[in-house]
Amino acid sequence: MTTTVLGISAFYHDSAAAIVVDGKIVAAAQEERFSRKKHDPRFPTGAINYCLEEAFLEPDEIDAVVFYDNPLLSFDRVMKSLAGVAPRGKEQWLQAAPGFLGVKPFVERYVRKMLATDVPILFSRHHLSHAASAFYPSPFERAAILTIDGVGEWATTSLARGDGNKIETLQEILYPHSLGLLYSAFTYFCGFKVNSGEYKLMGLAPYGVPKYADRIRENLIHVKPDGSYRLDLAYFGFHDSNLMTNDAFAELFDGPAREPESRITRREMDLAASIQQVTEEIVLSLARHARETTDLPDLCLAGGVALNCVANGVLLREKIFDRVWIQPAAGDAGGALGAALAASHMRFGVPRTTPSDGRDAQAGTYLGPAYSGAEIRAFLDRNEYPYDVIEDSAERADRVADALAEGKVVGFMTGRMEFGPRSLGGRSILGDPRNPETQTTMNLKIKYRESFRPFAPSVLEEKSADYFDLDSESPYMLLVAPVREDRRKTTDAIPEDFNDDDLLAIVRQERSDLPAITHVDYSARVQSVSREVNPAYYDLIAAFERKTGCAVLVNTSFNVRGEPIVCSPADCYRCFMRTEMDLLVLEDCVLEKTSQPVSEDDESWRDEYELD
Amino acid sequence: MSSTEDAAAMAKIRDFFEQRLVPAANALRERDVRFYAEGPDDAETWWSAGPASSTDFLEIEDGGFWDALRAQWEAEGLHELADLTEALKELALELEVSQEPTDEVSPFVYVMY
Repeated sequence: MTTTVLGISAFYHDSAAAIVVDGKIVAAAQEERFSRKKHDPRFPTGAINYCLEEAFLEPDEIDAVVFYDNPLLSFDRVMKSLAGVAPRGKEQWLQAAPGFLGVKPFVERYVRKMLATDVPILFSRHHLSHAASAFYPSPFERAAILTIDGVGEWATTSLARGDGNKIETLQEILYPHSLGLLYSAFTYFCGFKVNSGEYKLMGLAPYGVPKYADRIRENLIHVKPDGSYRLDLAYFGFHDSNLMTNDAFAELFDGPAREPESRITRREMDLAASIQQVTEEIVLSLARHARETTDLPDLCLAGGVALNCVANGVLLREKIFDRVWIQPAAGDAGGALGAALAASHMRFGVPRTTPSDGRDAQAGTYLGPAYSGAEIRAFLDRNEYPYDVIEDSAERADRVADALAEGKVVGFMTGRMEFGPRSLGGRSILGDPRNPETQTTMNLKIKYRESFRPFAPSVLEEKSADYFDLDSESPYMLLVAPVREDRRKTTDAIPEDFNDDDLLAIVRQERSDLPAITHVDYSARVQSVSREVNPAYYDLIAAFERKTGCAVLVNTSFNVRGEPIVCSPADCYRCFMRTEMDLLVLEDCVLEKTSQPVSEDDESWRDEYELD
Repeated sequence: MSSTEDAAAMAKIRDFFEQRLVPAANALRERDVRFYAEGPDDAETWWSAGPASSTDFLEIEDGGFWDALRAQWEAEGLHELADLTEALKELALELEVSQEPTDEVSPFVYVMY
């Protein structure tokens, strides 16, 4: 008798589905990868269909469908929040009510209709879903669990204890006091998009100095020694208006919010540095409290704030916990996986087993669709796209490594697609990290994104310490670590009056012998690659090392700005032809750009994707 | 929904806020009911003990949502909110499904989700 649970997150941001059979994660994927609409909030029909196909199941064969949050509690919070501020909040109500009222109360009915099934439909708590997504796939038998995000029902931060197949929530910090909303308020104020631009703010932080940190601590967020915190709502608009921040916030930070896509000034860089510093302090404080409260040596993290890999790196280096495991789909998409896992173990009592090799149960987060060589060749033949088949994997790795060593940029699709926001060698664009031009070329000619944004390295797991000050594995690119001192090069200090007109000059300075992945503060967002988890990607990096002596590649997501990461061979080919990538690898098929027919696309394709 | 129906629905949403919610909010304020602190206070800790709900997995059948919501608010002594549930239900039924979000939730109202 098996227990099969389908988890769903939907109707807010980044819909997703996941399927868990007897506690084992069989499949998980975000809807955006199928619908090609970034952060798609709609019911995840494509993702559910994929999960059911991967598990060879019909909807009626599932034991339960679990939605990732509790609409009753969310409704309760929204109505009480409004009642607390009315007659203020009217504009917010008018804007949100149609979507909110038309969906939240009817989720059960909607899910049942879409799946045409009468199996039980359950609603997990939002932070329990996050906690389950972090604890159950972790390699720990017992652990403290911290979940930190904007808001889920009433909770914004929660502390739980995981033990075997049980999770017990111990404490929560409640709305409107939210570290996630504070970070998002600065994301908005600095002209980036809330819910997706937070990582840009994090990337901008090293260009600035934290000159506003004291102002944030003294006015916006007050922190107790036990890590609990309160916002001062006098500076915010999210609770009673249709603005994230208000005039008092603008006055505190020397003027109005930056207009999106306008020039980035020194102020935004300093604001980014300041909120990053405060966030790191609070995360450390929460972690110390979690350690004291649970007296457990290991920590699991999830929630949107857990995607702040700079804070994660600081947390690891502080050694508050012996080990830290972070759910790679830490945002709301991961809630689908967590909801399915929580119900499997806590509701249906499925025993939990941790892998005997000490690794986690997330399978490298390669939980999405794969395409066979036959499927790929059929696609290429049908469209008459020229390609070479290189069946021998060593020969293929050699050919691709040669291209990378020549400075070429490679689109790389192998195996199952990643679940979560990071590309980890399943759907990646790769480059040579030694080449000082790689960062600029990849930003401006391939990704079409802001020049200040850094790229991440993939490194052979056993060689990681040769390049980075990192004494743990980092398979999910969720930890930022310093580039080793002996690899660094001296550069000019960033001048006080520097602004984004000078960004390219700053970016182009060689800060190490791996300039393409060394950020301005000599840090890097590291992915350590093991052969056990992704042999094809490992072998490629190893081949590159044999040719160049460098066991590192630049790895960025296979998409252009505003586009969801590619899923299918057709997505890969389209992106390849629209950018200045040189080589495309689709499993055992290798395509040279110079051999391809002229693309009929003009520049208008860029309008398909709203800027993120 | 047609644009005429949209306009009618928006008028009802506005009316609900002005004619039902604002009086309820005023009544709650008169009773000194507060749902959250607006800033720091002298409490020893700002952690809340345990989850806001003891229910890990809610199961709710068709139509049960509104009964459950009313029951919760009544149990909390919030008759001002409990009295709104019928009007909220009517409004929601008019907006059901046709309003499934096709765009990301605006960052300015995302706490309402």
